[in-house]
Amino acid sequence: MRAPSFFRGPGVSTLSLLLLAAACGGDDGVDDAPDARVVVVADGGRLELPGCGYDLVTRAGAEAPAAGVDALGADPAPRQIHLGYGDAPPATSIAIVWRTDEDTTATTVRWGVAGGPLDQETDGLTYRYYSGLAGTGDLIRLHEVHLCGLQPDTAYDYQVGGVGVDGTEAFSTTATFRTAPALAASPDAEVTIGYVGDGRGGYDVWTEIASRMQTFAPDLLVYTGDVVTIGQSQDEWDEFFAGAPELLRQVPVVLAHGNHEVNAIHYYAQFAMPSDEENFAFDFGPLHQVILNDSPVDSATMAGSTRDFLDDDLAAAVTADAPWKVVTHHRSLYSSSTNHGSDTTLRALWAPVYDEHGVDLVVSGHDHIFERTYPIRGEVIGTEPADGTIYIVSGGAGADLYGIEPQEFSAFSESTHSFTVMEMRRGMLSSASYRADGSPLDSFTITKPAP
Amino acid sequence: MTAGAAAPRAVAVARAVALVALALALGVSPAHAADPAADFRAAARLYADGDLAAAQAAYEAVAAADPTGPWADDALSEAAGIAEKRGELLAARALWRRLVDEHPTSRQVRRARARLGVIEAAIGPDGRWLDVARRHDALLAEAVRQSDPSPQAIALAQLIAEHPDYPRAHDARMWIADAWLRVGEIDRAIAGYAAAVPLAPDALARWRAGKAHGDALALAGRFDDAERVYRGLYGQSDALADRAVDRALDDLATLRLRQRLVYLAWALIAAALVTFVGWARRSCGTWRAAARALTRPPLEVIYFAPVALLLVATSLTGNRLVERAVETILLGGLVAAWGAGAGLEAARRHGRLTLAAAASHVAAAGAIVLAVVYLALLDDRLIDMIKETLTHGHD
Ligand SMILES: [Fe+2]
Repeated sequence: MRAPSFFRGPGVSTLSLLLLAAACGGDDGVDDAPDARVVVVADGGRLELPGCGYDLVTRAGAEAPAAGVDALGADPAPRQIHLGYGDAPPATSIAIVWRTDEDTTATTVRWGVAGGPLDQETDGLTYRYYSGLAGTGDLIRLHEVHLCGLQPDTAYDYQVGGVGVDGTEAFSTTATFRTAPALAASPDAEVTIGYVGDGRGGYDVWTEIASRMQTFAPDLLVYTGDVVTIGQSQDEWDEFFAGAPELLRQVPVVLAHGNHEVNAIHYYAQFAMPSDEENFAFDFGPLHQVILNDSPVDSATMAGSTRDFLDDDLAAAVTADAPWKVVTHHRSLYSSSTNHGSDTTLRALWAPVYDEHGVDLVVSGHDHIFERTYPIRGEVIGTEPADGTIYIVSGGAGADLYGIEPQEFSAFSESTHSFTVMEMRRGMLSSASYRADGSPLDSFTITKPAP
Repeated sequence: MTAGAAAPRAVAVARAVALVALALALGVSPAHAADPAADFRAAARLYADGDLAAAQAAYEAVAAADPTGPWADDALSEAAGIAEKRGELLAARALWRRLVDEHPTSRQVRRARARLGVIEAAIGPDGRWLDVARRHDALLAEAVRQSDPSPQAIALAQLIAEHPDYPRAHDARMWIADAWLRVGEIDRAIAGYAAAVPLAPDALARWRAGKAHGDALALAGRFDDAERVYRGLYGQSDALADRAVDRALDDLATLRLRQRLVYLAWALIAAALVTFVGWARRSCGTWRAAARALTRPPLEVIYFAPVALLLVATSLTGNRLVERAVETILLGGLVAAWGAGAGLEAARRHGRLTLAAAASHVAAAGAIVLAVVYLALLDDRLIDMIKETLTHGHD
């Protein structure tokens, strides 16, 4: 991935000390103990990740990251293990995130080339964040290890966990991930990308979709936003992870921020994503994937720094000859849903940039439907892929469905729970969408002459 | 962009045969297997043209020409994927197996394993269900982008009925029920989900089918049945599934309340209309005179009509749900203004404009407005969109 041209990471806000006074047990006859006060500075911070040369940044609401120290709590079994990326390319790196009980600080990944021994060990960073509203609620303990300098297009086995002060070990079972192919070395490599979004409140549908997606073995999962209905609801986040444990520990996930995530610390703390985790881009084999936040804290940035980033990034991607340019953000520029419908304000801001740089696909959500438009450029509806950008609404991961009144730009739409799998290779992109039950919904193929 | 209609079968087969022959020729003299990349791209073009049989043969030819070369694993993977699309499940299984056996470190192996799992689950380890699975998949493919999948739903139901032990019977039943739901055949959908429950292969699938059954019952307004089904789901899966049942029961309580309010709204509208007519009859003395008085547009309507037209015109540019709501509310307003205005006018003309007459007309008009607004908000769940906007901010 190339370094974005804008300020990276959040600013460190004024220091706030959050005091949690734990009430002392007051049983009669029990010796008075001094008040146990837990002082947690949850102002965010940054620390360099071992072996990667860039910092892990946490935001207000979470602690500054700290190096993992050998210590296990009462329940150190790793859970909610999932993969993502930091600021190193997906061809040579991976980020692994997991959760334990609050007292476990040991943070280690054992790994090795798939099929061989787990003969490598990398330590990482750990931090807690407040799972309630504005610095309240339980503290959630996360662990994050980034592996850099890996071989492209190579499968690795790994276990996460740590060792206690007494040498007790608490590691997960072995899982496998695979690095992305490097375009320079394998210009014709194929990648399979899963697109899905708006699972909020639909735990049953999300679990089904996650297991169906597994049968297509995606290399990367791109989530179009609105994982949860209320960004600060830890219960809902737990449902997201519980619905897809196998998928998430094998397939890296990047997300576009949805309006329901409300820029909560839960969103930024739990996932490992490049740059400021809001607006970023990376190459994944033949795919140049851009992710944008269309509901940022300061909405003026959408016309300012975000649009500038998009413009600069796509200009660089064109010269870098990335075969497929896909942009993902939450709200849909074109949608036939009777609920939100097309976001014409956002369209006026960003569609001209897509047009200028020849973006192939824009995949969004927000409306709980599936829709594919004809290729569109300058609001003119074409017929051939060369005529413009195809807009896909993939907002059917579980939330209650919305109605549809098909508009003239709509090539296909259905009010259904769905997911989309795209196979991309230099010269050809094949997209297939499926309902939650795995039945075929829509498909299309785009070809481009090889450069 | 969309893969078009397949070329005539004969042409496809001829092309495939030619390509296989070419591959064999190349195999005999590897010195000529110069450009597998070009052959691979040629196969991709066949696929993009919708010539699936020829594309599969061409990919297989690439793999055969240089079985250990850099294109072999991807060619096998493409060929296997196309074989699946064509319903050639045995060929697909053989190709995926070859990929796993001959290219164990390929990035395609994970997909090959996943697809082998899907195919073997569909046709059975001995391939016994091959024919049923092919017909099943063909029906699903036929239904793609059909606005009315009823013929496929009927045919699939027939197929499953003929083969009750088919391992994907549960999936098929769920698809049929979903299809009925999409075309608004709610009773058939309910029956479909109920039939899918006992066929579920595991606890989670069973729970999901039960949840879909309850959802369909709730949609049909059969709240007591829905509640019974939902309650039966507790303990069938895990704690998170139980929480989803909690939420479904909460939603059901809301639906129940809403339905009661809908009845109340219609009762209010009926009572208001009776009030208008009753007072007109009392004022005018005869039904005929009352009818005459009520059919003459009163002053209120003459003022109200252009305002209503203007608002309707305005609403046409906005959100389609809001548009319908504005239309409904204005229509209700028109009825209220007409009834109340005509009734009061009649009362005034006949010297019976008492406080009671005025008050009951005002109350009746108010009731209509409230009821109509509520009905408009329930249309396509506009109320949920507004509630969401109030709770979580603008969109
Ligand atoms: Fe949304």
